[in-house]
Amino acid sequence: MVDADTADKHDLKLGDEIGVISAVGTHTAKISGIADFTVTNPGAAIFYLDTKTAQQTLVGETGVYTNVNVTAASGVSDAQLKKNVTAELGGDFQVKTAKETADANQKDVEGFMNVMKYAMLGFAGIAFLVGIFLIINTFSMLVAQRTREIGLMRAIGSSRKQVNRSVLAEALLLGLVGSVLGVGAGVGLAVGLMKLMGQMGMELSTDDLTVAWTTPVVGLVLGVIVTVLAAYLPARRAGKISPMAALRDAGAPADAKASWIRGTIGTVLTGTGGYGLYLAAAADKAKEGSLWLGLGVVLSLIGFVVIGPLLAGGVVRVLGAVLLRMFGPVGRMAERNALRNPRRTGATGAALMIGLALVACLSVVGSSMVASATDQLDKTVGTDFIVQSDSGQLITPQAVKAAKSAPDVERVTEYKWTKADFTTPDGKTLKDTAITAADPSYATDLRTETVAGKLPDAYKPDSMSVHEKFAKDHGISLGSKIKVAFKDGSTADLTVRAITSSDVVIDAGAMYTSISTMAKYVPADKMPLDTLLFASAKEGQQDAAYKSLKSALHDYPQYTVRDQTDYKDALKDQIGQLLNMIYGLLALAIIVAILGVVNTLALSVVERTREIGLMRAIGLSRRQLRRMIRMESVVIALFGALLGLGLGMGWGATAQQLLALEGLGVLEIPWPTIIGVFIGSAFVGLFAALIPAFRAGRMNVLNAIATE
Amino acid sequence: MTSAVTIPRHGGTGGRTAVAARARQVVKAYGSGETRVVALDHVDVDIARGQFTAIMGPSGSGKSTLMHCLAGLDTVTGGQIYLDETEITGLKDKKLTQLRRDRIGFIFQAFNLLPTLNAIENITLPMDIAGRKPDKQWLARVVETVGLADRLKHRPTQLSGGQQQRVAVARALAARPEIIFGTSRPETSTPVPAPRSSASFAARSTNSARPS
Repeated sequence: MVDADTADKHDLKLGDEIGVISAVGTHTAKISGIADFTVTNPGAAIFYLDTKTAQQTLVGETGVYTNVNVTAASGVSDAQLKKNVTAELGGDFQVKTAKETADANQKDVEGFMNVMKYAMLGFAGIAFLVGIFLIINTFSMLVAQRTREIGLMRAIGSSRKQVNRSVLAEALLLGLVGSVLGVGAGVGLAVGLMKLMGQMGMELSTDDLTVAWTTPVVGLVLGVIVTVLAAYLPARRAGKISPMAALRDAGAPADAKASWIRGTIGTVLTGTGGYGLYLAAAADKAKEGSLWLGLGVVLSLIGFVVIGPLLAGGVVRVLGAVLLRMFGPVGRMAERNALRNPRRTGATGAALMIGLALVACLSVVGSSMVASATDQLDKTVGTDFIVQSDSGQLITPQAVKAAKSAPDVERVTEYKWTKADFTTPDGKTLKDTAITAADPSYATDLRTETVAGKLPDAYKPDSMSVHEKFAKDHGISLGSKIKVAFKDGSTADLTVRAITSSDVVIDAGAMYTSISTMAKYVPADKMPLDTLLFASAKEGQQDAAYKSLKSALHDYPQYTVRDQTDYKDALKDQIGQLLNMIYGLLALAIIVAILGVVNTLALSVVERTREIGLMRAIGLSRRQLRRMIRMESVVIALFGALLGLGLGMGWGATAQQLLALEGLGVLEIPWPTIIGVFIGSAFVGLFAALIPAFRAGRMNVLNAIATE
Repeated sequence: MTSAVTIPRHGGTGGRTAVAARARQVVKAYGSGETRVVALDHVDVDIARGQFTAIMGPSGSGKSTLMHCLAGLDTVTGGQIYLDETEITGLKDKKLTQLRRDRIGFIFQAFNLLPTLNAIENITLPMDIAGRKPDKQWLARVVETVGLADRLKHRPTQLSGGQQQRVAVARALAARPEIIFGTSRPETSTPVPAPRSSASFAARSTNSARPS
């Protein structure tokens, strides 16, 4: 019997035969019925078999069960029932009440969700940070535009405080409106997402939508506070406007020069941050290093933000010389416009910088990970093929046999692991520690470096290997004896004959013994199945062996055969997928930054209304005007990208240096990604300028001149 | 045709027509229905070539509107306007922009210069936009005439109001337009000895009151 959703999805009908692959073997079963859920289907595919078939195909024995549900007679509480059942069965079984089972399930989901939640909140925090830049910039521009107005207010008698407060009140209102919209959009998005997931097969009903009362409250409070705080500096600046401003000729405000104070603070912060990064790279303890790394990242980021307006001058000039000069006077004007208010360009670019710095950093770390792992694979892996299940299923003895009998295969190494309680020479007992059992040929299949002893010796009878860190922590040296109490088996007294380096990527932290040693202490029917198989081809028969191995395992679709290239690709894919997910989340911050560019440009256009009118009057065409604004936008975006990518690559390289302690030995800078992001930012600039440029182009020449 | 007196595209002084710009039955109305305000009611005017023409009148009499229409900055509700022999009423924005760029000079009463460009860049801006090379000799003469030779590298904010105004005058003259439109307010306009042969100069001067 099969559930209706799964039947629907795979077009299954009554009487169809399906294959059932279990640890015991492969069977076929006929569909005799289709069941429907009375509650929300969590999206799983569920099959029911009759008791006898289930026992045969899933457990391999008749008359046994894996779970038993007990219903209490009326008047007996769940706790009482549990006690009774436990007393009856003894300690070898887990007995849980319905409530306990539900709790445990929820805990599992919650644990995963908590990780997700904090990760998501972290990314939201980054977007928030970027948003602060946007708010500061917007209010600065608003204040600048109202200079005359504010001057007039001051002239007719408002106090500084009043001006100051009026700006803050505006921020409060804006923050409130923005937060309400944001929270509303968030809930709307959640409903949309649930619907989408529903369509993709996860049956989530929007009836289950829960919004804790804290969500909107925290959102609103945070939104308002941040907006008001961000508007504080511009508000103070507004308060400082002199009444004389009312009398001065209007027009775009004069160039705001970045002050030397800013330069000094920025340089000191960046310098300290850089030194922190240097210390992180030079650190020989991961813990201490990561502290320096965190400090270095934060300080260098703040330093760059502070110093940004000063860098804007130089960077924009260089970008202008390279990119804009060929556009003649229009390019020149775009460059000058980007330069006229370095603080504004700096803040707008900085918003983009944050997101891109993280992208660059992670891409450097990610590709270094791939490069290091590949490097290690090349150096240490002596085997040709790896067989494993991608869904984490264990390898059945039949499949092992099939693999072993494949022609052109020189040897097959089995690899399995189990848990055991270790009693180390220092007298401590370590519960549920993983121990790996493999055939002795594994020492050649994976040439793990040792710091003491020879690895093949660990596969001698009653011998094992431990890794360096474990040895250090527990005072183990060559010849030490460890009591290993195998799960489901008896206790062995194993001699340590090799200590492996902790500085590895593949199979890091594994402790090896031979399968034959393990078999001595674990009864045959309790031996765990293989998790991995390693196969090596006969000399020069790689291709043939690859093919024969694949066809030998053809009947076991749950396992994948990979040669080294496949394996590297799979590894790359895995890291690539992870990176893509993170990029997706960082996109949020980048979108906010793009909105910042749009905002800055739109306000700049308004601010320069008269200038634009003048240019149009003396003959600048619409197209030239639009191009000018687009180029300004591109330069700002590229400025942000350059800073961000530079900073991010620095962070990434430092992180790699630090992770080199954990085996990440190769630094690889993913130039295609970096250059792609840089070019992409130019397009982001173009895109951000679309609306502002369009609006500027549509501006009526006369109105523009007449604006006062 | 001596170089000094040549106007680029349309022959020399005293060429085919003595009229640089003319308006025929020009109507400009704002709004519609009961709120309709007619600023220009069937106006006919000829601006003579090579001469200063001043349009004067009380505040609100439509001086600015007339000038804006003549200069191709504003559209008319009815009638025709000709610049030399070209009818500018009904021209598309692109053509109109080119026309302003190549054949008309402007001197506004305030906010004439781009703050990001220095004096000489402001002066040559219309030609730069058009992608034309300025005539060096002529440019030098214009600069000298307005007395800005030692101020060319200064940004507008580093110039006095009068100097700014003179930069604007130089810009209007440098491209050798057929006609220059200007609006002036008495206290900032500095008398400029315009090169006799350059173009007709339509100056609007207000009666003491400062508009806008």
